[in-house]
Amino acid sequence: MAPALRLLARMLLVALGYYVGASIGFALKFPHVTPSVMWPPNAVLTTTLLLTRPRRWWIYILAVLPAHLAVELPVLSPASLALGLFATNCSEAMLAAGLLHWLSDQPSRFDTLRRMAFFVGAAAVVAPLVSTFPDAALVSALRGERYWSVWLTRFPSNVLSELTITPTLVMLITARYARLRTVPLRRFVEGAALVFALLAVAVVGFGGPPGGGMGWLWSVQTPFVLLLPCLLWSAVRFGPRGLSVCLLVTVLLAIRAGMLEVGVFTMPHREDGVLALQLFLTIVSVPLLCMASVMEERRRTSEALAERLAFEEMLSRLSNAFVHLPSSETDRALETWLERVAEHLKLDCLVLLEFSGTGDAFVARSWKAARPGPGLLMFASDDFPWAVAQLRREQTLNFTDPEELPMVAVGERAILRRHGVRSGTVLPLEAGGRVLGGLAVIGFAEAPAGQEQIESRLGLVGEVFASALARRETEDALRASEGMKSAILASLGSSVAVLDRKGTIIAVNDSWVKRTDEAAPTAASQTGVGDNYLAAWRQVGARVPHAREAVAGIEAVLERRRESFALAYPSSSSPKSRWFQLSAVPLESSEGGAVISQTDITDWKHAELEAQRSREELAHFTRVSAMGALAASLAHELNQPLTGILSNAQAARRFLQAKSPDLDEIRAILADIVADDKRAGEVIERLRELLRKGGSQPERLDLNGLVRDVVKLLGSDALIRNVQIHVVFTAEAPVVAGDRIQLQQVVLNLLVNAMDAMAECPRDERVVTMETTTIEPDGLASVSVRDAGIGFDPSKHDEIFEPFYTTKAQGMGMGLSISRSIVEAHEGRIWATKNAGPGATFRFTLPLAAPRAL
Amino acid sequence: MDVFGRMVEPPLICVVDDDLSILRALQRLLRSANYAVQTFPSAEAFLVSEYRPIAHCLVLDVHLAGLSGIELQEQLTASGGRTPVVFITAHDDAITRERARRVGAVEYLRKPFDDGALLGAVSRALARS
Repeated sequence: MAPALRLLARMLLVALGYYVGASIGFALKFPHVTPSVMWPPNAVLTTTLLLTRPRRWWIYILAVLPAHLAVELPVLSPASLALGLFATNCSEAMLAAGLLHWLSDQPSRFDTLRRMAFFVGAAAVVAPLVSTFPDAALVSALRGERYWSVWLTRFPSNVLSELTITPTLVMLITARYARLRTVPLRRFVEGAALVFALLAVAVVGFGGPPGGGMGWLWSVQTPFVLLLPCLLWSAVRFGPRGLSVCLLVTVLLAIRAGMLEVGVFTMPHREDGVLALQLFLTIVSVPLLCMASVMEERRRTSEALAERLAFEEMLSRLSNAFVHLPSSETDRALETWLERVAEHLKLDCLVLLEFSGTGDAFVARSWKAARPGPGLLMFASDDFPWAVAQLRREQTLNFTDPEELPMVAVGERAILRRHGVRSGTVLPLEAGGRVLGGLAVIGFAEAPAGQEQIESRLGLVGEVFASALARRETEDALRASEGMKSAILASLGSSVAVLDRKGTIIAVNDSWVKRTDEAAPTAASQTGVGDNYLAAWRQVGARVPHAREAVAGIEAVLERRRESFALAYPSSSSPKSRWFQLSAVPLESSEGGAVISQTDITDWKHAELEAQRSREELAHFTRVSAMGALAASLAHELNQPLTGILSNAQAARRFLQAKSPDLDEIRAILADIVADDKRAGEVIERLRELLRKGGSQPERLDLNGLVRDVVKLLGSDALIRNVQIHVVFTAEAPVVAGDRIQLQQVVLNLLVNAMDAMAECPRDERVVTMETTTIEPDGLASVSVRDAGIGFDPSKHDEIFEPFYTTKAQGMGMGLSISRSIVEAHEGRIWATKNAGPGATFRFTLPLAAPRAL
Repeated sequence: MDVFGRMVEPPLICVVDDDLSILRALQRLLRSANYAVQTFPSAEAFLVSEYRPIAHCLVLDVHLAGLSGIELQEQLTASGGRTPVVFITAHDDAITRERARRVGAVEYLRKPFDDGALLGAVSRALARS
């Protein structure tokens, strides 16, 4: 129904009530007495105003005006009196309702002593008292009646009307008749018995001869004595509502008795009877109403307490259920408890939403009461984009009608309407600052009272659910991470053990368990979880040379003095020669400890040795090939002293054939022969050194001397090829640490290459310049070989150092490649640059050796 | 002395070699065969020496720093010299031998050589002149 139409209906209803009330008021008169015993229209108006916001009072006051005039104009004159009385009636209702709106937190409820007391004080005492003054003044002025007698008749009538009619009307209007369905039959039986008893007692109490009589039976106290048990019954068993209905019935019956001129209140002086009846009823009503409200208050308090206790108990069981629950059982427990919570809170439908991942997708578990209504709701994640976004922002959603949702939530509104949802509350479930999901209550009927309470309780339940979800998530993540770690550990070929702070093994991987004595021939072979790894090493210490080093290194790691420790050692007990690497790193935990790994590096070691051997063999081979190229030069180099020796010796023999040989000459000849012989020896020594296989130890070398030796070795070759070699030495001897033969080979290769590069040049241009320099700031020594030959293509700079790159017909292409590997093995660099003029310059640098300690 | 008993000047042999030890040994050997000997450590030294026009025979090393023995001989021939030459070398190869032959070498001796070979070559050279 449209709001305007509804308002109009209400206005009509109120006007009708007013009219009926006034008609009844006119009817409720003792014979021969002008004023009414009760004046219901005022109570009707008070009731209306109590149930209405003050802003809209004027609507209803206007609505009752026609009713008032319709009732009063025919019977009252002058007409101004009817209008005046309307004003005073309205003032009474407005005063009563206004005071109650101001004083009471719930002006339309009478279920606590406080509310009831405010009602009695404001509506039944102050408002009638105040409004009766102008009322009486009006009547006395316009009708000429005596002021105080008018006041005295109208005041009690107004009090009684407000006291008995207003609460009855209010409570009948606000009653929840739907609840009657759940009221057990015995309550109806009891109610019927009460009504019957009340009627019977009232008929007896208010009956009897006029003015009482028949000795003890009908005195003024009789109605009081007879009625009180029934009224108490109603107050105790049926609360303010039952009492007020009973009171109204009683009042009406009493007035009816007076109208029939029977009973004790039919006094000789009719006005006295009316007053006595009014006083009697007022005096009975006030304490009974107060008592009923106290009873109601206590009943409600104890109910709330019991309900609260039951909830607390359920909540604590709920929390306990999830405390020690394995994460695998969380799902089932959530479903079970969803049902229990919903049943406890008497909800229509309870839905637990669980976000999966960080997206908007969720998993919904719902429980729906087995009451008539739509079937089980099926929710899909993308049906509620707006609601999910709200949840993600930790916003609580609350609506008593899907139409209350904003326009953007058009999807939500449609789907909720389709499912017949009337109300809903969605609370975000958060744990650790993250929204994990939501808890939604869905109502298919009008929202019940106590919504805030249910919301706060859902909040508590939601916290338990949220922590259960969070815990499951954490446990799952932990299990996944544990699984991954153990899979990684198991997949390692190395034997891994975790040590505690004292060196005791607390965990090992599969490889550690599986290793055989042969594979791990040291301390590790005897150790397992619970053994002390350090102690095992100390035990073998006497037999194994590296045990002391291993113990010291592991201890240093355990004591956090070292960040890591590694040791490669040959096996001590296995028949075959095997190598192992032991490494230790600190364990990142508050307890301290270390992670030990033992790896069989035999194959690696063999490969390394193999590589070194092939490198040396290749170097040797290239040296031998270089020697082949030098053969002519060497022949020349050796032939020179041999020629000297031979010629000198033959000259000496000829001198000795003379009669008197010149002995001085012979001596000089012999000295020359000795010198030449030594010279030849040196040549052979240099040659042998060059052809020796590698494997020598690094030594301190003067690069100047090294270059000088090579130049000497190649001097004859240079002579034959008509190449001039200029050597420029740095003043201070550049000392490097390295292998003499290997470095000689580098210089030799560069020099031979330089000479080869100039084979086609005119003779005067065949100049090689060799230079040694030291670059002190960088700690480097360098050797450069500059030729004036054919040069090289700078774009092929990197290629020329690759193996098998050659421009020579007979070249193998290994020289520069070998040179580079030698220089790099000495932590140096080798490169080539194109000269500004013809030719190229090859240069290599080596780190200067640290000065020898004095 | 010649066949007439006159004291004759012995033939002058000039030796050019950059190896001083060999230079000394050859000087002794030739002296023991009664030749007059002058030695020079380089071709350039010989070219500027006073003995150049009066030498009866030259013993030249092929590989010399600077001007080589063969180049020296080419220069001498070019400037009209007729002095016979014996080449000696420690580095024997076909190209060098061929060049030596072309410039008119009497003999081409590979180091080390016997005294007989050198003295024979020198006497043949003297006979030619």
